[in-house]
Amino acid sequence: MTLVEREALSRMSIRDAVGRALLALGEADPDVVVITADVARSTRTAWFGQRFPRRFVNIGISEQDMVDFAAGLALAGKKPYAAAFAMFLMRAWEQIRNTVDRMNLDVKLIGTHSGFSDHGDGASHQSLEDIALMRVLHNMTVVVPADPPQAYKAVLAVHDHVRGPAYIRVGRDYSPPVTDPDAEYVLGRLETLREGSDAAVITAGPVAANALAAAELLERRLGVAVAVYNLHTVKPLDAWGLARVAQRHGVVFVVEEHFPRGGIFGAVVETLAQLHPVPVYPVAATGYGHSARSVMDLYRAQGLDAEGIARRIAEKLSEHRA
Amino acid sequence: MGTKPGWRGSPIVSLSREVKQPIVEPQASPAKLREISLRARDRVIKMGLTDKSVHVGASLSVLDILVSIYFGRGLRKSGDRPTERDWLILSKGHAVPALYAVLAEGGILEEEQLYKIRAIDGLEGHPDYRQEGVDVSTGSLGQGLSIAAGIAYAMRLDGTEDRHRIYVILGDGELDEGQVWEAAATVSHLGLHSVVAIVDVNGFQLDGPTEKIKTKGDIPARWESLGWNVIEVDGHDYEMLLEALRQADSSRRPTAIIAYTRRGRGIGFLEATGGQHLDPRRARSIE
Repeated sequence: MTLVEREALSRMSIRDAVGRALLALGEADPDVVVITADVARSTRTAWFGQRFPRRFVNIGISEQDMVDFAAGLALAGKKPYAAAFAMFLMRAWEQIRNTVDRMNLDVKLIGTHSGFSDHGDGASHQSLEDIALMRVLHNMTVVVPADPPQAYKAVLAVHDHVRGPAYIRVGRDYSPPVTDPDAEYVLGRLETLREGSDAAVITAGPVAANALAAAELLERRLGVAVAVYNLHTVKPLDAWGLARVAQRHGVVFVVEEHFPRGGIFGAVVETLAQLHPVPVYPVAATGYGHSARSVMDLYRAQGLDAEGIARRIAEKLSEHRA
Repeated sequence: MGTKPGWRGSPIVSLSREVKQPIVEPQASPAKLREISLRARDRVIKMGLTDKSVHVGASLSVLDILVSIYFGRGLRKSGDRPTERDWLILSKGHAVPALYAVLAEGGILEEEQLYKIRAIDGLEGHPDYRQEGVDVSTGSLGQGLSIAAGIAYAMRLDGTEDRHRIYVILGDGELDEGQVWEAAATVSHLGLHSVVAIVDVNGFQLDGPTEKIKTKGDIPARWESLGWNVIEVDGHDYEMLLEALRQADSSRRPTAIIAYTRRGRGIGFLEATGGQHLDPRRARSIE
């Protein structure tokens, strides 16, 4: 990546970064085929379609068909990427389970507009269950990049290293960069975003920016030092990395744009219960969303903005100290 | 807590798998096909008697279709890439005993393997691609045609779509699944003429006669309206089946063969009632 490209990536939206990554894959690997379900422009897969029209299929509003079409491509030796809104990709969960995952096919699924990022369209379009549904699958790799540069690197890394199905969950909009743009992206390794000794936050996806801002608030107002870790690879996850975090901090908060049941909170709790049990608290979606003019309004309403996260962490920490 | 977790990608089994298909006397005559099908029927019935959950009715309705494809038309290979061969997807996966019976005829399965169907150390109750001779895992209805479309598109990219065919066998009950129609539109829209859908219209689904459970409409007209080349045949008539497969080989449009069949074909009481399963206690009367 050149300096100019890196600059550009840090200013674009997370779905733009994925669109760019697919273009790069298209150049590098003639077996890459991209499929979408009448959301070519929204998912930025249209860019791939313009550059590689033969290797692009817009299959219409039929996600189940799209997933099995991708499975057929993979069976026949291609490397398909199927992209749709995360919410509507879930409609094809049974196809993903019974065809893609059961045969361990090299199908990459990209869920865009995840979490609350499709703020305007409202609750029907906001996905708060997809991590749980993908994580439970036996062969599936689940990746949740935090910002546009990481999304770009994650798509490339998944392509290079994952032989089998993978789910890449991204948001819709601009998300402020939180990762070091020069850092190498290592699949499956917990990434430290901020040091701190009093408590640990495990997070993933664009909400990581709010978690970091919450940590700053806690430091400034209460003198509490909270470390923030980016669990960008939710499956398979860095179990020993998490265990070391639990051992070092003694109390863990999981901040995610998802329902806590089965999501990243679920993954962390399952892991720590076995390796190093400590109290773990969710800071996650509290209910279905609503239309909003900005995603920040939804974050605020769900207690997932910096203030909300900081408040929750401060409350729990004071309970612990009492 | 010292060890570092390394990244472990899971290996893909599918792509490196050597594909075996029985190619025994393709172009066999209708008389020869009848002989093969008698032996295969015998195997299906024996499978049905070893495990009473085996779907005998649906297996017997589809059997002549499979025999026509495997031994009449033949499945061909022109190279080592997965796009350089014919494929067969049994989308109505519950009829897998018929496929096993045919694979045994072709020497891919041993006779004794058949009678361990549905046993913990035996053959899977629905098609599983880990089994030699089975191209695609199915069992959940409605998915085969979409998978075929993906394979056909890969053939187009590799320039082999004029050479090879992908046969997808569906049941008439399966047409209840909305995804079948999503895929039927996709195949037609993309003009994937290497796809041959064969609908085994036996008139029954799990809970009863198809028209009683949910209307199927005018089945040939539904495919025709989406732009398919539709051929209607008696699904137990080898001349008609072979002619339809020949037409599908040269069609520039995707072909849908609507094959009218009898569930339980060959066993009087199953044919009469549309029955699906055999009762081992009646083994004597069946013999």
